[in-house]
This record gives sequence, C-alpha cells and structure tokens, in this order.
Amino acid sequence: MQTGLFQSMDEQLYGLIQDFAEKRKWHLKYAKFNWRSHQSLLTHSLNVASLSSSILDFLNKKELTKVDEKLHLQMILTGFLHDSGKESELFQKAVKTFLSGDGPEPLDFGHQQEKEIYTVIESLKNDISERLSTSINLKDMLDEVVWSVSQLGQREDSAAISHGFKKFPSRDAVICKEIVHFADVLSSKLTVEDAATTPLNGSIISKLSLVYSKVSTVRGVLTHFLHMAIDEQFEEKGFVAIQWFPEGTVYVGTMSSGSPVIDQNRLIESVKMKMRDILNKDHSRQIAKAAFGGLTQQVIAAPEFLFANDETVSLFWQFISKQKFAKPNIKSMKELSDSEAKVLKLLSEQLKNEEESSKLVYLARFIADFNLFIVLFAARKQLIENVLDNKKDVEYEITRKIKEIIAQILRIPIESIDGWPEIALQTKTEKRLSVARSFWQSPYYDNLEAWRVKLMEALKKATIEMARTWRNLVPDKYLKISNLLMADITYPTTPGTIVNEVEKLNSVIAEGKSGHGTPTCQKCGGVACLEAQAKLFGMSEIYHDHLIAGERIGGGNKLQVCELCEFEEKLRSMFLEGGNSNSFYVFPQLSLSRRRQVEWQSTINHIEYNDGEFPSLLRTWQWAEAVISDASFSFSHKSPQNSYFSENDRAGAIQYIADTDNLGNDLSPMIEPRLDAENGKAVGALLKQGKCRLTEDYKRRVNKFLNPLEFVYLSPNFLLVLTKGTVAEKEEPESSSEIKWTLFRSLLARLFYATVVPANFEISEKASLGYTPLSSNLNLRTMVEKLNAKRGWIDIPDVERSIRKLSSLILIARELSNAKADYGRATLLHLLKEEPGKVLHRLTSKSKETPPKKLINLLDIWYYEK
Amino acid sequence: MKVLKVRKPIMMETRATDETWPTKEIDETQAQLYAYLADFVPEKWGYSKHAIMGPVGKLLGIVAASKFGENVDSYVGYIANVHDQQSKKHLTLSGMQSLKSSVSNLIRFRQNRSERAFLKILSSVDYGVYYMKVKEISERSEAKKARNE
Repeated sequence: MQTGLFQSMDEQLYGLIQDFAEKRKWHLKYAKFNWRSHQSLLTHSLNVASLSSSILDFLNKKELTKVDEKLHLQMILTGFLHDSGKESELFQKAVKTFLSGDGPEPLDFGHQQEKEIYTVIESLKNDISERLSTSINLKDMLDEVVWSVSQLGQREDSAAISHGFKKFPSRDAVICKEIVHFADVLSSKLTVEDAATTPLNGSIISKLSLVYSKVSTVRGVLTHFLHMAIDEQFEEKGFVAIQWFPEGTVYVGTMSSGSPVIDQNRLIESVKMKMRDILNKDHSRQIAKAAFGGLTQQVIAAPEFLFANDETVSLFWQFISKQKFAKPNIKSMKELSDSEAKVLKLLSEQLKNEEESSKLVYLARFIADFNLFIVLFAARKQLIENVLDNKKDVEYEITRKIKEIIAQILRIPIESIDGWPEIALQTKTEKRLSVARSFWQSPYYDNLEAWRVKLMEALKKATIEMARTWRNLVPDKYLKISNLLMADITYPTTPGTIVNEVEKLNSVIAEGKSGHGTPTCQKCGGVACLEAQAKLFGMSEIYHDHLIAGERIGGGNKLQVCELCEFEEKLRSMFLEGGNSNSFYVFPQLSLSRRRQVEWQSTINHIEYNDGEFPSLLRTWQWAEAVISDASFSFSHKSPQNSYFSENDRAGAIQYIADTDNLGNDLSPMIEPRLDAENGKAVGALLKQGKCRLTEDYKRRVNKFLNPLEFVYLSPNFLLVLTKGTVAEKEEPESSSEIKWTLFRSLLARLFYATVVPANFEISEKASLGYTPLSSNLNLRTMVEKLNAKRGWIDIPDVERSIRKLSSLILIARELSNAKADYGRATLLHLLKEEPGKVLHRLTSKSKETPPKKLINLLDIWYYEK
Repeated sequence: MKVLKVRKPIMMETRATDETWPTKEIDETQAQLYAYLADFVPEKWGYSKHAIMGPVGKLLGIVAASKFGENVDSYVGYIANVHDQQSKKHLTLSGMQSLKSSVSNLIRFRQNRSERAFLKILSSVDYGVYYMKVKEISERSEAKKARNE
C-alpha cells in the first residue's frame, strides 16, 4: 500500500523518470526476452522501481525497517536504474541477434558497468535537480545508487567486485541492493506461481513471505469481480498485493502471516455483492439498455438486468419508448408493407366511417402500441421460463395481474383483454384485431399524448409487478454466477473444493450420456447448457468463428455456451449500452506493479475524457494524419490548438446526452451560465462563441460519448477494452479492416506500454513477444513482412515504426480515394501487393496535375522506410 | 488397329515456386536506368508515364519481346538511336555505361528466371524507375515553387 508519506514526491518522481525513460527510448529497447515473453526496458525499470518501493513500504508498515525520505527516493532510483546498462546499442544489438537465432544469449548481469551507469545518471541528475523539490544531497545518493546497481545479482565481473571494495557501503545502499535485486527477480518471472515461489534470501527479505492467488482462465468482466473479491480476503488477513498478472496476484506478508485460506462462502457472497453494487447501483441505465435484445431477436436478452430493481424497469421503458418501433410512423398507402396493408385492411373494416388519412394514423398508432406489448409479453415469457417450480400457476397469476393493471390504468374492460391472443412478433394479423378493439375502448385513446402517458404507466407498473415475482421466485442470478465462478480459482483452494468440483462435473457428464455426448461451451470449453443469442455472440445467422469450418448456424445447430460465458457477454453488452463491439485485452508485459497500475488508470482517463487534444482512437485516419504530420508526435498530452472534434460532432454528442436525460427543448441545465438553448447545435454555437461552458459533469459525459471506448478496469490485473463502433468502412472486407485494427492495437499498446491482444486471442499460450500480435490471414502476409514481424508480433523496438508505416498505408488509401483513384472497398489490400510506382501511376493517370509530394512521402514511408 | 491419340502433355515451369525475389538486383537495375535517364532531356516535357520513361519504356518493351535475343550491344545501340532522335542532350559515356549494365542485368534475369518471374521483374523495374523519376520531378517542382515564393 502507498503509505501516503511520500505520495506527492512520488507523483513528481515517477512522472520525471517516465519522461526520462521515454526520452531515451527505453520503451523501444529490450530488458527481458526469451522464447515466450518480451518486456521493454521502460516497463521493466518502472516495475522494479515501483515493486521495490512497495516492498519497502510494507517493511516500514510492519516496522521491520525504518524508512526516511532519502531511503524511499534512493530505492525508487536504484530500482529504476538497475538495468540502465541495457540501453547500450551494443547490448540491444546482441539481443536482436540472439532473437533472430544468429547469436548467443547476452549475459544478463555482465553489463552493469559503473561507467555505463554514470552516463545515464549524469543525465538524470540534471532532470531531478531541476524538477524535484527535495533537500537530499543528490550527488551522494546517486553514488550510492551506482554502488547498489553494480553489486546486483551475481557479481561475476571484476569491475563490480573492485567497486564493492572502493568504499564502505551505507546502510541505505545495502538495503536498496537487497530489495531491488529481489524485485528484479520477481519482475522477471513469467507466471504468478513462479513469482510467488521466489527464494526469500537476504537479511531483510527473509522476514517476508510471499503468497499468491490464481484463476484458471481470464474471462473478462467476471474475472475482474473474482480478483477483487479474492484480493479483499487476502488484505483482511494482513497480506498486501504487490504484483499483478492477468491470472493472479502476488501478495506479501510477514513470516508470521502463515498461508491464507479462502472462505468460499464469504467469497461467493463478496463476488455477488460486488456485482450487485457495481451493476445495479452504478450502471442502472446501461443495465436497462442491455436488457433489451431486439424486436426480431430474443426480445429480452437479459431478464436478470430488467428485473434487477424498480429503477431499471423504469429506465428500461424510458429507453424502449424512444425506439423507432415504439413511435407511430405514419406512412402513405404506397409505403405500406404487405403485412401492414393486411392490418390496415382489417382495421378498415372496423373504421368504415373514417377517412383514409385517419385510418393510416390509427394503423401507425396501433403498430407502435402493439410493438410495446410484444416487449411486455416477452418479459412475461422470460419470467415464466426462469421460474423453477409451478410454472403454470405463476403464468396464470402473473398474466392475471398484468391484465388487471392494464385494465385499471387504461380503463379498458377486463373481459375485452381476456380475448387477446398470445402477444408476440409472430401473432397472426387477424388475431391482432381484438387488441386494437380493446385499445379503442379506452377513454384516453382519442388524445394521443394522454394515451401514451397512460400506456407507459401501465407497462411500467406491469413490469414492476413481474420484477417483484422474479425476485421472489427466480434464484438470484448473481449468486448463481458467483457460485459457478468458484471453479475458476486454482489457488488458493482446498482439497474439499476440488472434490466438490469433480463431483459436479461427473454428475453433468453422467446426465449428458444421451447419445449426443456432453455439449461443451464454444468459448471456454466448460459445460454448455444454453443456446447462444445472436445479440450476444455475433449477429450472423449462418456462420460464427467458433463453429467448425463449413458448419452453419440454423435449425437445431446453435452455438452452445456455458452460463458464465453467456453472462460475461451480457455484462459486456451492458457496458456498451447494448451496442456491438470489438473487445481487446491490455495485458502487462510480464506483470504489473502498483505504479504502472496508476499510470494505466491515468491513461484510461485521458483517452476516455479526451477533449479533442488528440483524435478518438477509433478514428484511425486522424491518428494516421497526426502521426505522419508531426514526426515528433510523442503521444504526450498537448494543449489543443485545434480540437480533433468538429462542431457537428460536439453538437451531436450534446444532443444525445440531452435526449438521454430527457431535457427536451431546454438544454440550459447543461451549461454555465444557464443560457437559453433548445438543442445540441444551439449549445455548440454558444460554446464556440465562448458565451458559456458545459458543466463539469456534462463535459465529462460529452467527451466520453465522443471517445466511444469503454475501459473495464475493475481489478488491476488486466484491462478489458470494448469499442462502441468500428474502424471499418461500410462493407469493407474483414482482412482490410484488420489493417486498421492493427494500427488501433499498436496505438493502444504504445499508450499503455503494454501488450494488446484481441479478446478472442488464445491467451492460454501466454506468449507476449512484443506489443501486439498480427493476424495470420494470408492476405496480410505483405503487411507482416513490411512490419518486420517475424515472430508474428510487432516487436518491442518496432512499435513506433509500425505505427508510422501503418499510418502511411491508411493515408495512401485516403489520397487515392480523394482522387477517385482507389481500388474500391479493398483498397488497403490492393496497396499491400502493389508496386509504389504503379500506385503513383494510378493516381497521376487520374489527375493531370504534377504528382503530389504528400503521396510520394507516404509511399516512401510505407515501402522504403527501414 | 486403332491408334489411341493422346494429347501432347502440357509442360509447366516449376522454377517459379522456389524462386527468390531478386530485390537487390532489381534495385540495382532501376538505379542504372534512372542514372541513364539523367542524360535524357526531351524536346517537350510531359507528365504521362510514356513521356517520363522516355527510351527506358521502349527498352523494357523490346527486352520483354526478346527483339535481339541476348545481344546486349544491339539493345544499347537501338536505345542510343532512339535517344539521339528524342533527346536534346546527347548520351554521355557514363549514361551509356549505365544503360549497358542495366541491359546486362535484364538479360541475366531472362536467363536465370522463369518466364513468369521475368515478366514480373520487368514490370517491377518499369514502375520502380517511373517512381524514382516522378519523385525527382515532384521534388524539382516543390523547389521551384519555394524559390518563387
């Protein structure tokens, strides 16, 4: 834990050393490298600095060592500089030769020569004295840092040994040497159990103990909940988390702490409560939206979200009432579809005295109202399906209650409602007429506005009644999911838990022997018990990546998934407010330290609430422009001269937020001072004139809308990124859009100094050979070659070069498109194979002007830049 | 006795699949042809590919058609003649040398490569030289603009 004692100094210091490392391009240099994991010098140095500091803080808290400002500062700097010798060109070249298979492995400890460390330190000293306010004698302290660094690890080179005898080391230098060495070893481990079994040698370190928690698979949002709950139990027992891997966490305790035992019942309760708190309280609006599937799909995709509480019910109907299908859409006779014409014909028989235009109004109103009832009765269907016992009784009871509520609020005779058919999208046209007749009996029907108000009231009340029944009769979904999640914990676990799990699996297998085998989940391989919904697992009705090649979805052949995977998809859909998306994981290179976690959080805030100082990450062409036009484009936070968001973008976002909040024609609550503004455009104009500004809360919401990415970062172990939208153009081939996604992932990886992988990437391999993996699609072979990605990954030294190259490729395509000389939807794919001269010729043959310098520059970058 | 007629087997080249792309040699040939074009100053400037490539376009065409077999001098002589008719500047000795080396390289490609690969190489050389030339023109035009400003 951060003691708080040196917090403000830490902020300054970490900011300073990160800038220093970036300036020296440590993010493009190797620190750790082997056949399955690479780590940049920047990440490794900052991790070791932070981890050393965390261990020191723990020792201080347990009164095992006395820590003052000097020791704290010295520890961070020793950790940060412990591998500084690795920045030498010679070492980096040796690593590259080794990785290409042409040379021996460079020695890990033989290069920390005093002379080399001093060159780095001299440069850092200036930065520190200029930017850090401290009374410590920097020169003496940095001398001690050099001593500690040169003595780290195996002292196999004579220079280090002789340096050890030159001067009697200070107490602080000895402590730093021991702790930083330990932190270095921890930070170099590939897995959480390897890290936790690091030998605790040394006079200080031996007072500590290490323990860990681990889960078998990273599912996404659900795994976040699990990590959080486990963490809570460890911390209660006096352990402190110091290092995070995607699958687990390493904790530090004292020798007397013993081994932690997880109380499973408390853990289940804790996971459940965390889900309930985060979802129901903080995200009720999103939950309400995610509950809806679509009129032509499973209408209520997540009944557990809809029936969560009365507030979600209310927000759900608010959301539904704004849908296009719920609003009367008056058409002319010619515009009517066959089924609409059929309904009109039936209605007309009852409305003989009405004129044609008013018949069309009746029709539009009836279609919209009937759609709302489809949603209501779909909710009823979900309720009945999910009740375990006495389904018939529940069905009878709830249907009666719904009818009573409708009859009472809309003042329709209940006998009329009794004659209604089963309401669904498939209800036959002729049977729908009885519903229309009932509506017309309401005294409110003549006044459209009054009718809509009453109708929504009835629907809301009926659903609240269903929600009450749901909560009484349907087992708590969060509790069920929490129970299922327990099987994911691989450590710490008790023999009893394992036996229970085996018994549970055996019973499933025994039940499944029906001649068809046990269906397994297409996503995680667990026991599948549900049919996948199109809304959650992809919109295609015929094919899905998880099917065997050649198989199609249809008839009885549906994707089978387990309950956990289904709920995970529901949660993601909730975070996206019902939209479709691509999801990515941001994983640490090897592992994450507390400081890097703070940095990740700040990067998230920066991207999520970006005010236009850099483009939204999904606008890859704008990023490409920015990267190419400014060679020193440093991804650092610049004050915007011109916002990347246009006035229209902003006005659209303001209008959307205003609609969500039901502000109607008065948007003045969004701005300070509260001037008259009736829509988003008016607010946009006022903002442009500088007459007002958005209130802090609305500013954040507008910016969030303009940056359509959702970062799910509940536990520190990994980050799940969901995109609300896509980088692809309309009908662009998948392999072509993959080029843009590669740029997107590279940018994300560069911003977080971490590994970014698509969520469906096989993470069980646990290989991270750089910043991001490239697609193995054969169409993209040339791209892989151009980006020098021999191992299928964008290597650590190549990330900025790759971003530049991909940016140029995307801009070449735009240049061609602007001159109407593109190759259609697959321009990017064509460009991969085309000679630069041919591309140039294509453009020049379309326009008679002299060849544009810009295009030639871009072609130079893509084809020739090394 | 009835004689069964069998169609003559179609022979396919198998070299193409195990050929490596001679990037270095192609770059070299491009550079030689580009160097030669320094001597070519047309009567009238144009921006069409035909105009930009000058006699090099012609050369690549006749090499593809194997007009003079493997006789390097014949190709050089033919292009030197075209050059004299179209260019305001005479062919220099170094220009001639570049031209000769490039033709030798092209002939070597023809000898060592499959027909399919050879045609691809020719196309690559063609557009490579075109790219270099257009880049030069563009840089010149930028510089001129800057001077005028």
